[in-house]
Amino acid sequence: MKLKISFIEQLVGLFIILAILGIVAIFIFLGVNQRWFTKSYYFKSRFLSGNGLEVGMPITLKGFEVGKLSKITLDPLVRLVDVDFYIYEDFYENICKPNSVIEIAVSPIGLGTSLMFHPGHDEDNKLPPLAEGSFIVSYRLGGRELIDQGLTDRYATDDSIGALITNVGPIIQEVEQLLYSINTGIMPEVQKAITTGDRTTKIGAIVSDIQGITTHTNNLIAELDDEIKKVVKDISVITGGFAKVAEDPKGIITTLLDPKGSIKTILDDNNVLYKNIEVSLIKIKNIISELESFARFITNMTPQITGILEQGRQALDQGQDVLEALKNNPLLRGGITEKREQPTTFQSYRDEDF
Amino acid sequence: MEKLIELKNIHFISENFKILDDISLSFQTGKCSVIMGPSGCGKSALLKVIAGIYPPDEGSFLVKGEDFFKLNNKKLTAFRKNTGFVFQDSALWANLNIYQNLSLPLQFHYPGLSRKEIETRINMLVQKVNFTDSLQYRPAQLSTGERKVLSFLRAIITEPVVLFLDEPTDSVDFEFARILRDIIKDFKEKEATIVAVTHDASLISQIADQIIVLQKGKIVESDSFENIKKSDNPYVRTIFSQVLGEAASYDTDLLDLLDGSDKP
Amino acid sequence: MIKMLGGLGRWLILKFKSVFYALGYFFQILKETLFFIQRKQVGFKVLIMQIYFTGVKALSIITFIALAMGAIIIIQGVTVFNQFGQGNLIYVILTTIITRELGPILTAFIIIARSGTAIATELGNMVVTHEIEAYVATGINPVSYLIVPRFLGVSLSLVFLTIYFNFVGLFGSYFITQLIKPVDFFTYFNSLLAVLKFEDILTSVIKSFVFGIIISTVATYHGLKVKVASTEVPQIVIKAVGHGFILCIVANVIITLLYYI
Repeated sequence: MKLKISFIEQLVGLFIILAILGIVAIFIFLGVNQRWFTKSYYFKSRFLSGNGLEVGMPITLKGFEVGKLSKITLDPLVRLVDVDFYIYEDFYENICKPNSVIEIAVSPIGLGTSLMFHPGHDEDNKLPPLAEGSFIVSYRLGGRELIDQGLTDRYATDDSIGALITNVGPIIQEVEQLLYSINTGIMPEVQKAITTGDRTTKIGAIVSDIQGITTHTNNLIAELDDEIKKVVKDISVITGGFAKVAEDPKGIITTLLDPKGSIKTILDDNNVLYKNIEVSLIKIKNIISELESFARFITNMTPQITGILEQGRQALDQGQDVLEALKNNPLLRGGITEKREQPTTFQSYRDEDF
Repeated sequence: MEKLIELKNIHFISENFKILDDISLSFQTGKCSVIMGPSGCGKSALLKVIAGIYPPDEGSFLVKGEDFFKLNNKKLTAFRKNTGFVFQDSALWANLNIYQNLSLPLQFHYPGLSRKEIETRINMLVQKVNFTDSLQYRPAQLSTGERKVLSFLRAIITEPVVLFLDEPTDSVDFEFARILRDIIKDFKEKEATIVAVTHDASLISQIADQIIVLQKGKIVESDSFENIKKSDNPYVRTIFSQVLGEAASYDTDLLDLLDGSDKP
Repeated sequence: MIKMLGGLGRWLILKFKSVFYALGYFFQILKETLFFIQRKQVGFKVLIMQIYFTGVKALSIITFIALAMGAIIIIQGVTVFNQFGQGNLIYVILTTIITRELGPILTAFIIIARSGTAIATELGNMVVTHEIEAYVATGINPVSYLIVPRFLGVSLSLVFLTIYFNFVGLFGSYFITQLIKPVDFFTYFNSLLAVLKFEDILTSVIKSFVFGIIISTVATYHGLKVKVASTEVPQIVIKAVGHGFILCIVANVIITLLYYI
């Protein structure tokens, strides 16, 4: 039986069906795209702070989403943040290796947080994946050591802001530690060494050595000055003799050849003048060699100081980048200006062979 | 005779005006009552209260002894199915065409009826009143008289046993009025209960068992037609003279005039 | 002073009464809605017509606005965000604005202007011409026959229209963008799906359904409030629009807050 269905009813039917199909299609695409239908492997981790963490936050590896954060809780007893997260089935076997590390990179300039997964090092992909529910350490709670030991493959991010986000955290921490150690460790000792001459600590010894060396150098330079003055005086006597000869109307050559001439009288003094100059020159040589050894001492000392200074400089440099980034707020315009790397004139103590 | 509808001390207020003031009435099954009174005295409001359309502000409204506003859904639907209401201004549904206006009550009260049966019943009724225009017309395309007739048809399409008529023959041409009167008379003969507001002397004389005369929302007189005809209340007599128009000026017996009004 | 206080008191009582009346009215709609499907009522046709007028007929304007909004967001976003290498933010902004915020509320505003006014006017005129009374006299409950189909029709239409708005706003506007600032389709599509969340769509649907309930209830409530004269109709239409807007915005704020809690 053919039912009588009006055109309006047909239109309404089409309107509803298309909307329903549309939403179903969206859900299917979303499901496929967001892996609703694939198995996920759950893991646990622990962070110093939950700042920037958000449930549903993607966990990335080299910029690719490999999982998501599923739960964040604060353990009030130890004041650490426990998180649960999952890794997609596609990545699980190949990246969830022992010694894997999860790292949170919070942007201090409000450009978000990224959560990075660093797989455990597994040269030939032989190690079995971690069991579901395993604990994976976070970067600041043990992960850093694993990375330093080469047990974990840590990949740096490529884009400048991403890299900045990744690095700024540890840098600020290092600057903080540096300033803290300068304030609490070095400065009081320097102060103490200056005021009391205490040599019991390394810094105190360095400071009082520097003090001693400076006094000694000053003395040396004063001595050098005297000796040089003497030599100059002797030389002026000689040159004075030469001047007289030059004034002789007989001509310079004749005078020089005359065995009784004034040149002879100047030089014929049992080599007293020569000896004087020689002694002075020897003294100068000694002073210079002392200065040389001082310079060597200073050179030997500097790697340690320059190491600290260099580290500080680098940290401050990067800090400056951050401040500049803040100043040129990317939300307004700009970003970070390209900067030519200033090569250090000193070598870091880290660069030295041990 | 069973009391079908009973009003007890009904007060009805609209827009801060007292439209009905302490009305107590009863209507018996199979009897025909006519409400009369000048314009604005509350006739239509009273009819709508009697039909259960307007809930009164005070007083009780009983149907077969039961409080109308406490009737369950089934009883209420049964009451509506068995009653028909003709509005003074037709009140046809403007967004529906004539056919839909007539078929809607049928579809609602008889969901089992086929499209064909509905069509047959509508055509039968339409032929009865000699309505020749297309049923696809909207009410706005019809004359006032035609709308009134259709309103009447809509009221009776479910074959009710109680009719509420608000000026059913008003603004209808002579031929339509005659047809409508005949139909109403048929209902009366079938012992339908009729409550009508009308000034149609002919209709009154043919159907009225009881007359209610209203003045400013109050009942002046309510009695059988026979008794009312003999009333010497000047207000009642004025109303009757208005109903009869010029006829009243002959100073003849109202009774004779009313009795003979439908005679050729 | 006492007179003034008395006036204030009366005003307050009236306001309370009207609020309770409105709540009772809403409850009655809900009750009749439950019976609507159960009863094989003639009101089903009214529902179809309501969806036709509110949904199908509004599709063109919704499509136009969604296209324009989506294209503007994409063009502006691609220009601004790419300046600092955060081009991906455009998809977050797009889903947030189109799906969660602008989609439902803009659709609601359009429906208030189109159908809210139409419903209030139609019902107001029906009251004046005693058509509502005619329904009562015939035994047809005006709430179940007139109000419920409009309530369901507007609510459902708004949900469907919001889905269309989302579709056109998110995907259709892509084609407009191609004319001005070409973006690779698969990049666009995949990036969008990566940030679009189930909750976004759910919020969108919930919001639009709530807005539909508000618009239909407010429009029918005001429409039936007309008493005797046709001169009241424009006044109640203005009220229906004003109340509709305010209540939709309030509901939007509440749902958005709930989303973030």
